[in-house]
Amino acid sequence: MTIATRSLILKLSLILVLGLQVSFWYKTKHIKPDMIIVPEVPKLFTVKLLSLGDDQFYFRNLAFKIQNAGDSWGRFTALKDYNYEKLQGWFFLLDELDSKSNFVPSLASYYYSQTQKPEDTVYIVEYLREHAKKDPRTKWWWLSQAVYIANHRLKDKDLALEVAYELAATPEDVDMPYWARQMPAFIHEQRGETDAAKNIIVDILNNFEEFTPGELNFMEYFIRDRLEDEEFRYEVIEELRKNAKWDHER
Amino acid sequence: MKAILKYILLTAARDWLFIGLFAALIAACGLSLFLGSTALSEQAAMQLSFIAGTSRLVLVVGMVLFICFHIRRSFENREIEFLISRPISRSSFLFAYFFSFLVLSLLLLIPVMGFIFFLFKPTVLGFFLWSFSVFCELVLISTFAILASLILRSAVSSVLGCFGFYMISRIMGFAVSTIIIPANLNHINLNIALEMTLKGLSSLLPRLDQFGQSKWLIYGDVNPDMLTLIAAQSVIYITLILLMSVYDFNKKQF
Repeated sequence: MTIATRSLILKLSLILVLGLQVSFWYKTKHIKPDMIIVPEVPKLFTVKLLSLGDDQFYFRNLAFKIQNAGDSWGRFTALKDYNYEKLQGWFFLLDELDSKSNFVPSLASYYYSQTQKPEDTVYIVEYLREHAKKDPRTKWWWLSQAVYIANHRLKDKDLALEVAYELAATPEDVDMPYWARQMPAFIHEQRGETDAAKNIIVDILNNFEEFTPGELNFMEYFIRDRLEDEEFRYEVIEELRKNAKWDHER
Repeated sequence: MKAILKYILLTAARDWLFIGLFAALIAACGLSLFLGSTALSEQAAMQLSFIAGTSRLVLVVGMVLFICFHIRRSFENREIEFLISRPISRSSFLFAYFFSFLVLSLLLLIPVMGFIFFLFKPTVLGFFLWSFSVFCELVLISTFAILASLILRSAVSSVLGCFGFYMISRIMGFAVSTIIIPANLNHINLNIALEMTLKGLSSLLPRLDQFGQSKWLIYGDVNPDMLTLIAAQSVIYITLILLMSVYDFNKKQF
């Protein structure tokens, strides 16, 4: 075989193999990676192993992944298409790595609660309740978000009331605004249960010592305009006067 | 000692270690800052955690690659033979090498520490513990890289050995927690064998999983006992590897 023939065979082989490669691509181009919206929730065991000792670093990585789930590689997915049960599993898993961080509850309550399928927000409410239980002293804010989501997004007043009572039961020494403790009163008012709403307000007035003028004005407005109880309003103000908690001059 | 330190630093500069590692660190920090800034909340914590985690990995990988390839090449070029022909004992030569890599680790870590401190202002105790533990981790892995390069004849196998050692050491806490699972839980004798293996393995490997945790930088809630734990583990294990290296190097025939 001459050198020219060998060279020709080599060139033809090269073209043939290149052609085969292109044909292979043509036949396999429909095989695409599984672009799942919410990935399967791994076991805590696996996550701890993969964190290589730095739980915080891995927690931030996974939290970032869940923030961008469904919106990666040029995709944009409507929140109604997400599997919220799996998403809730991710939230609980991430809490196991770092329950101190407010990243996951803020992601759940400010972003994922905006789904077009309001019934899915029950998973968010459940998660926020569990998250707040880990440290009620610093996490009461997420209970107030759970009340809001249950009341306005899920429109489940019973659940909202249940969570509102959990919020109101936050230890008294916690520096929490009065509106958070009054939350059950607002839900009772919306349910038309004015007596229960009044009891909440009276309870707060009897059990707490210091109120700002703004807070007292709000309570007065709530009783007068929203509970529409002029007589009760005077009772309350008398009570405040007696306890020296009300100063007209302020 | 001073000559070897100068020689190592010159070799590091010649091998573009400083430029290469600083470029990798800048890329890691830039990417971390960008990704962290896209977080819905806690952007600073996200950035800090990404920077702390990635820069630690970049430094470990960089040091291992440099040491393994440097030592193997020095053997192949007979540079080591030339150096030990000078009036210096083999042990002193090895300690000088160790000290040089210790200085190199510190030189590479200082810019990362400065970047984290000035940009994120973590708590002093959290920052100190993180920096100290990452420094100890770098020195420990560098010492292991010296040993691996002395024992193994190929740079690639030394690098792979070091990475394997690093990975296993970083999951050692996990192995230790697996040991406490009762061996007869499933009434399978295999569990006993597994328990014995894990016990043996964990008693010989360092607890690197306790080192360089980015939560110290973010939350600053540091248990002061960690400092003692990290210092004790580093001193014990670095001494152990160094003695093994000296033993092996003294027995080497040239």
